[in-house]
Amino acid sequence: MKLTVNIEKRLSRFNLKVHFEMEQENISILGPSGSGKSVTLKCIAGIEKPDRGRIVLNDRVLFDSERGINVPPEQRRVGYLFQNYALFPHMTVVENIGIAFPPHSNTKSRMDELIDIFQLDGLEASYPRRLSGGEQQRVALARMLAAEPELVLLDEPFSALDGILREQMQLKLPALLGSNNYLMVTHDMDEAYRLSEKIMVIDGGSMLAFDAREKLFDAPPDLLTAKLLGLRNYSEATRVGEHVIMVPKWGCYLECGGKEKVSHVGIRPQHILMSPSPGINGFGCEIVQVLEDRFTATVFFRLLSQAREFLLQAVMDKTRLEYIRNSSQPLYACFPPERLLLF
Amino acid sequence: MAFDFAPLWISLKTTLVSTVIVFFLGIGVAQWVINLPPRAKTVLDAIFTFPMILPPTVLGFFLLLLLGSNSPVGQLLKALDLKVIFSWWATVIAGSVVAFPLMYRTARGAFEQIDRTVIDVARTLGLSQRKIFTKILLPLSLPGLMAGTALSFSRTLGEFGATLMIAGNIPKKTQTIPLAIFFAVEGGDMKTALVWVALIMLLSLLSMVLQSLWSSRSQATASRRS
Repeated sequence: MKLTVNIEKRLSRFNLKVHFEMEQENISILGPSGSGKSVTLKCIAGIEKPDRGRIVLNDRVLFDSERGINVPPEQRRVGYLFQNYALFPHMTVVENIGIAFPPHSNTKSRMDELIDIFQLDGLEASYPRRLSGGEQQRVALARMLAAEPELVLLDEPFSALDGILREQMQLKLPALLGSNNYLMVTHDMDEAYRLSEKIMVIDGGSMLAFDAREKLFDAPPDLLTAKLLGLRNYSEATRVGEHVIMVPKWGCYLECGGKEKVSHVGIRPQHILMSPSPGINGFGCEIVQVLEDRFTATVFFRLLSQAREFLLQAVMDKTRLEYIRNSSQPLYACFPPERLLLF
Repeated sequence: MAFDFAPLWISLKTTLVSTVIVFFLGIGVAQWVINLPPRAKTVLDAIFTFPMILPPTVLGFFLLLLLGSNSPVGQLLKALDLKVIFSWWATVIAGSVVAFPLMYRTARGAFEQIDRTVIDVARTLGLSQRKIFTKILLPLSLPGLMAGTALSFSRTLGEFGATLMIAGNIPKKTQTIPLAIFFAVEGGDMKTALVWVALIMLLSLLSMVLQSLWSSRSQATASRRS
């Protein structure tokens, strides 16, 4: 499978501009709602028409504005899983799947196979409205594969599922799709990380970054991307020495190597260590507010050295929280040098 | 003198033919308009709805101008040796024109309430436009289309003004039941008028009963699905 996309489309609030290549891999497009990610998928499927550009799938030109090519969706062989699954409400499970078979295929054995893979036995004669969210999704996936697509597009595939079911489907999806590669759209960072090798970050119609998931999260290319990828603590900074940067707003000097020209520094809440003893890059701090989850807590704190009133945040497990709460020692927040992100 | 049933047969024939014409035309035009760009859609929608808000006599007047021998269309008909005005076909034209907006609007509404993503997904699954129309659009909009058909039927059956303008009141040719009632009353023949009134009420009632039977049956189908 090889997909090349290079398109532009004028939308009401911004211009969408995306270009990427995809080859034997699973990719997620990550971005806030209204960032143009769904439109991108729709352009690839042919449901929407880009203003300019080119889309090529396995040597078939699907769209080329210069040559006036715009293959209609029914001839693109691109499967599309809608957020609401879009099952045909007047058809049973078997009819929903059956209508998608291309002519000349051995429908009977393929139907049995799909019913089996997607665990739909017993539901063959049911109508969509009688099915649970998870069952509906499995029918929609089976129907999509029945059409023998060359590429699978998933539009927020898990947003209609909750809790345990969502996790189960995230676990099962790659196996269910078998050898089909997929391009998925989501606003959920964990989902994107779990289900794809590469991630594209998009905002306001522009591609901010496109890289292997580990690389993207460990070393985001710029501050905006880092913020979209969940960076909460960041501030202006300047390098004052080979191993020291100054962070005026936090009122401190941080020890760290790395690049020479620095405009901002950031650190993920998960990487800040809070402890009763000062370590490297440790600064006295006081806790302002705590947001407790079942097993972790987000601690909002301020450094004693900082001039202006704003809060930094750190995430830790609950035992750690108990420990620092019960200690009578002064509290320190430590910024491990290798965890600092420099921009 | 034996009671003349001609108006009944003329009315039935006119109504049935008009309803069939309007059924296909309304669905076709609705389907066409839906897929147009927004501006063209608004303009055409207004044009196709216009016959509904005009008084039937005014509509008949315009049809008379359009089909009369002084208009281009009238000239064309003349050249083809077709006489439409004051023929039986004029009753069909009048009936179709007044019923068309009803069918068009209900069909359009029925198509538009279908979830857009259902059509989009059908296309990505490789279904042809024709298959999408017959297997998905039609079944999903059937209740609305049936309601539109019933409305068109009743509207054409009761059509008076436009028919009188372009078809006239020619006994055994263009005299439908509503015309027969009017001219019976005008001639002081209350007995004949009453017979026609009773008959047309019966027909309307019948179409209503059929419609509600059908809709309760389709509701049963729908509840089987949910």
